[in-house]
Amino acid sequence: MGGLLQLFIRYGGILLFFLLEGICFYLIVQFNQKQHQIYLSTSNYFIGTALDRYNSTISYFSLYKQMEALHAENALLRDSLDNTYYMSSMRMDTFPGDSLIQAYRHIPANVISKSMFGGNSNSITLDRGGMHGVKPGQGVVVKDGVVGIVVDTTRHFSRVMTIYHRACRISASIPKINQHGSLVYKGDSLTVMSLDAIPTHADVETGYIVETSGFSHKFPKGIKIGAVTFAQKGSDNNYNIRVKLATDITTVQQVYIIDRLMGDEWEQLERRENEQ
Amino acid sequence: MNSSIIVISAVRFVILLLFQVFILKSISLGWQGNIYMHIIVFPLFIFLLPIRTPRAVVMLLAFALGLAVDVFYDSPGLHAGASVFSAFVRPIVIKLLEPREGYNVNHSPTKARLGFSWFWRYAAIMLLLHLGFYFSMLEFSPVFIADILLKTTFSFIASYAFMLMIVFVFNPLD
Repeated sequence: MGGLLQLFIRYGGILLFFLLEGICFYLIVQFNQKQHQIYLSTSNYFIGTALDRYNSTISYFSLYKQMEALHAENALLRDSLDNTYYMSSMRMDTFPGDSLIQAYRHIPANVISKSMFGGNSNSITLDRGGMHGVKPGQGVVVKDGVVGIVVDTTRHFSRVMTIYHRACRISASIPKINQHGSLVYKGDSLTVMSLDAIPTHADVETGYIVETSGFSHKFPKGIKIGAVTFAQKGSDNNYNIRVKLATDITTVQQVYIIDRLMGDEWEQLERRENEQ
Repeated sequence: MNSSIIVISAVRFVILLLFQVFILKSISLGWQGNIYMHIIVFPLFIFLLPIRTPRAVVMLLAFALGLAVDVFYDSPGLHAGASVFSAFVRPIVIKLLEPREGYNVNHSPTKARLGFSWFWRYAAIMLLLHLGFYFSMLEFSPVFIADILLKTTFSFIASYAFMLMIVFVFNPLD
């Protein structure tokens, strides 16, 4: 208490000054039209700015949720793309509404573990598994890129063999010349793949777009993979083609697992032929 | 001596207030001076209080005088704020202008006591600070900085002339 009194005696002048000026300020903004309006608009401006800052800061915390929602919505949208449908109508002039049957479904998933690409493992782990409908043999894609093929699943997780894996062969085509081959990784840079089994009678030029062919039931037709950067006629009647990937697979976080709804039927048919 | 200063100050308080709100206000309204040239002389009361007057007392008196002027000018808080500011900076200005031999704290800072060469600087600095604060509060936004400076300049010229006239005519000792 004595300290407070001392403080007041020492700084009383300044305290009184601020007190009186505070009263004056209050009177000014309360009872003078012009000052009142300036005060209101200024304080509104500052409060508005502060609220704005607050909101933009707070919105960071919900970013992950929003991203998840967008991811799921993207999967839905991809489901409605042309290449995920099986066209059941025979004639183009009749186009009944039910002639489109969903043939592929997209399961959004996050990459939760990666090994070094280009080494021995070349696999990634996703946070979706059997309970979400993930099965071995399903393809994994991102926007403008193929990631790999699911090789093993548990209830909650799945293991994906990436395109850099030795055993991974993706059926890819060059739509411009209607030729297809298989995309394999031959130990180049991680953004460059090789396209095998394109016959030399076709005219391959650099810059041609490479897409999934749709001939294997793992991927729908027409997912962009990359572009031809190098093409040379090899000795075995096949081209020696290098493909630059459109998307850097090593950095992806969100992927889509492709659930082929008609895959079993397709496989059954081909297996039956082999058995005969 | 002590009581006479109180009486003098009280009389000065009333007369300057009446002079300000009934005569000077009408004069500046007459030439539309309320646009750029306000004549504000009442702070002379604050300037002329005895040097030893406690700062708090000066501020309270200034607040009261400013509020009284505000009642007539219909601008609550404006003159009071400027007056309190003047009262607050008064000891600083007095300290700044301190002559080599120092002050006699019982005296008032008047022309008769400290001479014209001291008083004109003191009055000029104090009036400029007062008017600068007053017009800052009147415009209330740094957007109008040009207006603030122009009004302060013109009002200073007119008010300073009036103030010196009063000091020369009455030449108060305290």
